[in-house]
Amino acid sequence: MLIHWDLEKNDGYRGGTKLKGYIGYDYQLHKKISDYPEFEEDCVIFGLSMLDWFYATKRIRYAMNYYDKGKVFPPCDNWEDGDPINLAPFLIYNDWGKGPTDRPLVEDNKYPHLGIIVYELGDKTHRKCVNLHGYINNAADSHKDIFTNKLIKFKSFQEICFGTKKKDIFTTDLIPEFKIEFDE
Amino acid sequence: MKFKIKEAVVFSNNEYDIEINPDATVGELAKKIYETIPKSFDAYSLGFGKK
Repeated sequence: MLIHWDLEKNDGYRGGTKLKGYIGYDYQLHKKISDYPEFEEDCVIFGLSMLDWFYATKRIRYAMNYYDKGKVFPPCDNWEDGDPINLAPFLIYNDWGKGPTDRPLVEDNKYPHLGIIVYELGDKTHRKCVNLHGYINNAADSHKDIFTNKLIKFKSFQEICFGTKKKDIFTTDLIPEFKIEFDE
Repeated sequence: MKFKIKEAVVFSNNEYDIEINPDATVGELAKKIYETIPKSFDAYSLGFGKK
C-alpha cells in the first residue's frame, strides 16, 4: 500500500487520485483495517494541511481524542446533518472559505462551540450534536428542544447554560454532553 | 503489512516505510503514521484515495 502525502493540490483529486473519504470520519478509527475492503494495494492516504479546504471539517485530531479514550467518533446521530438551527456543517460555518471570518457564536460551529444533547425517547437514547450557543438561544425563546419540540425541564436548561458558561474547551477535549429531560 | 509513506509537504518531500498488522485498527494506522512523520495530530487531516 502506498501512503502519499500531497498538500499541493486543492481539489477532489490528489496526485491524480480521487479522494474516497477521510480517516476518522468515513473510516472510523475503532474499526479494523481489514473491515474496509478499500484498504488494498495501491491505496493512497493524503495528509491535508490547514491550507486545504477540507482540513477544518476532517481534522484527525478530533477523531483521535475519542479513539484515545476508547470511544466512537462521531459521538452523535446527526454529525452528517449539521446543526439543526444554523444549518451549517459541524466544525465550520456557512460560507466557509469566503466572506468574513469573524462570525457570531451562534453561527460558528467550531469544535469548542459544540455540545452533545442526550435525551431518551421511548426505549432509545438519542445523542444530537448542536451549536450550544444557538441551542440555548432557541430554548430560551421557545423553552422547547429543537429536535423533539418538547418543553425542556428548567433544571436541564440550567445545566446546559452553566456548563456552557464555565466550559473551557480545547481541541484535545471531548465534546461536552448534556442529558436533558422534558416536562410532561 | 508494509506501507510506503510519501510526504509531499511544502519544503519537504520525504518517503517512509512502515509495517503494521492488517488486523490493527484504523486508529493504530493513524498513530503509526504520526509516529513515523513526527507531526502533531493538529497538523493534518487524512484523506483516503484510490488510484
